[in-house]
This record gives sequence, structure tokens and C-alpha cells, in this order.
Amino acid sequence: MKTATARTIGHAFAAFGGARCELMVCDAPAADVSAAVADVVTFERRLTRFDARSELPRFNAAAGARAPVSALLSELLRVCLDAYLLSDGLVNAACLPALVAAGYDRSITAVRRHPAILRREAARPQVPPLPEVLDVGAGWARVAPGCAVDLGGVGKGWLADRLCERFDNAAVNLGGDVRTRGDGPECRGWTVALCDGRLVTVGDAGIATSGISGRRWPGGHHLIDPRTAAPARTDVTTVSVVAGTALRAEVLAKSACVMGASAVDAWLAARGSLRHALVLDA
Amino acid sequence: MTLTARALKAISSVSAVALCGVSGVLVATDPKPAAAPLRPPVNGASHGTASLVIPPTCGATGFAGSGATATLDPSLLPIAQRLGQATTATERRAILASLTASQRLDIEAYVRALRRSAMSSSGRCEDQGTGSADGGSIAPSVVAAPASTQPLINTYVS
Repeated sequence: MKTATARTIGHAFAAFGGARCELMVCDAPAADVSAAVADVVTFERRLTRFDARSELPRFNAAAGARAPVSALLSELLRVCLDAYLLSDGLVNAACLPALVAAGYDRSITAVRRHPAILRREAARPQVPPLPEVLDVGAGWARVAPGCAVDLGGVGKGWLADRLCERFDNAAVNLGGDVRTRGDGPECRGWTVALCDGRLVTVGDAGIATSGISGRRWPGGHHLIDPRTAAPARTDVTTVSVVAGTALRAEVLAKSACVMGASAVDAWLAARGSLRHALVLDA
Repeated sequence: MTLTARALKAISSVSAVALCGVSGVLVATDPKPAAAPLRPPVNGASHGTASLVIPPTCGATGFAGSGATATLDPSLLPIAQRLGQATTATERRAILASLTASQRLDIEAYVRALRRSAMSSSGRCEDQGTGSADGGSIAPSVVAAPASTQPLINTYVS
């Protein structure tokens, strides 16, 4: 049994619209940790919807046509389709027009500073079932005319998994989407605080927290309920989920928040949640 | 009877043209199978097999592009192949070390897409919450930690 304390490199930085990101890596070269940080920055730069030059807005702008996509965007669009199925449609990347209509039309910092003036009488865009409006082929993808996709937390979860898999003993936290591997710096696992303050110790696992308390602005928040095409009206303020990967935990956490507390226990357990914590609206 | 060299050349030319013409007609009218193999049959199949033989190389190991669900810069394909075959984290890092951040992301996405394709064609599902993203070889473990423990990480709403 290992007892020695591992040499740990920790690095914290902001990404994904100012979200706190952390890498804690044991017994690995600093250059590889730096490379992982660079990958986070590059990932955001390539896929942010707030920069018209990045790949995702250009793909959305080509709605209706088969657009060439990189291997990265192709994979993430497929992941979005998987997330739609796993979540019974509650995590729907096609909610972008509804999200913009709800006021999240600029970076969250800008939205908080100057919230959009929303007209109540304005028509609210419907959120179509993602598989009906998104095709992904070999090197191309197509979103239906009038539709647009946003990767949301799915991209963060996917990336946390990929970065953590490069190390034998590491924890990667990308704005609350956490992936851990190995037995931690002191060979006792990775201790993670969930949204309700409870602590869990995990080995190889994914943990994610979602909720309506983070990215919100006067009159709205960022969790769109695809059934209503509006910010979810839910009794769950925050939910943390522990699952096999950060991606799965992210999809389950977001779904649980949109779904509400009453049906969440059985639903999560049937989809691979190992543990979850809820903070309810007081 | 003697023929001049010029006459011999003319007869030879006419004969060659006639021979080619007859051969062309014979080839054109020869019955052909409706579906011919695109590639020579493999695994010792006889040449007389009429059915299409698909080499068992696409999908699971198709790093050359066939069966892949995404495309990648051809110069990166050998690296993607090595990454797909790497079994340890150290190997993965060594393979990725010489690349740019963008290339690393694309290659990892490409390898991931291939793995997904291979798993779906074999009827297996990944990321079911009972294993690691590497394919389920490591079971996730989670236990409640004592309240006195200092957390290393907080998961939170961003």
C-alpha cells in the first residue's frame, strides 16, 4: 500500500466566462500541466459562442447547409446528441435561441452589468428535439435553418474527462465540472465538497454541480427548460451529482435541476448517478 | 505473289484494327456479375465468390479514415493511431507533447470518435457511470468523507 505523499502541482485560473478552473496533478511534469491549461484556453477560444470568429458561431451561421467541422466540434456535437438521449431531452443543445431570448445574449459578465430589456410580448422560440435538427457526418455537420446549438456545460465535462485521462493521479475542475483519477496526493483519494457542504472521497469519478444560482441576471438564468423554452422554474437551487465521468455527472446534474426535486432520486439512480446532493429553494 | 512492304504494313494495320474492334465488341457483350468485389477477397476466400467482401478493417481500427466519424489532418493520423493504442497516461502525454493545443484537442476528439464508433458497432455503450471513460476498466469509488476533512476541491455552480 502506498503511503508516501505525492508531489502535487496545482494550478488555478479563470476560463469559460470567468469560471474558476483548477488542475491538481500528482507526480507528473509541470510542462504537461501547462499543456493542459493551454488546452482549456484553446478549447474556449475555438468554441465560444461570444466570438463570431470561433468555430461554433460560424457553424451556427451556416444553418441549413452542410458545414465542414473540425474533429473537435464533430465529437462535441455527437456528445450533445448523446446527452439529449441520456437526459430524456432535458439537456438540449438546440436551446440557444431560447437562451438568447431569455437575455443571455452576451458574455455573462456583460449580461450582469447591462441586462437585456426583455419584451414580454416577444415570441419565445421553441426548442426542437435535437436529433431532428442536428446531423453530424464524417467531417461535416448541419443544423436546421433557424436553429442554433450551444455546447454549454457538456463541453466542459468532456474536456475535464480528456485532460484528467492524461494523468494517473489528478483532479481537473472546469467551472464545477470535476473529474478525478487515482488516489490523490496523500493516497486517500480526492475529497470533494458537494453543493450542500457534504464531503465525498472519490477515486476515479466525475462530479458536477448545476443550478440556477450561478449564471443569472435580473429576470432570468441560464438553465433553459426545453419543454417551455424559458428559464427553468424549479424547486432545486443547486444539485451535485457523482458519476463515472464528469460528462455524465454534468448531464445528470443539469437534468435534475430542470426536472425538480420530486422525481429526481430514482431518475438519477437509473442513469448511473452514484450519489447526489440537492439544495432546495427555501 | 509478292507484296510490297507498304502493302504488308497496310494489311497489318487493318488486321490490328479489326482485331481490337472484335475484342471490344466481345468484351462489351460479355455478361458481368451485378456486383463485383471492390477489393480482392481476403482470408482465403475463393476468387469465384460473387458476394462483396468487405475487409474487416473499418470502424474499430480505421485510423486511415474509413469508418471514422470525424476527419483529421492526414499528417496527424499516425499520431492519432499511436494515441489510440496507448495504454498508459504517460504514453498519452508523451505522444501529445510535441503538438499544439489545437492539435491535441482535435486528435483526442478524433480518437474518442473512433472509440465511440467501435463501441456502438459492437453494441457496447461507454460512459455508463459504472466505469471510466477509458472503457469501463476502473470502477468509480465514492465514500462519505468525515466532516473534519479539508476538501481538496469544491464543485459549485459556475
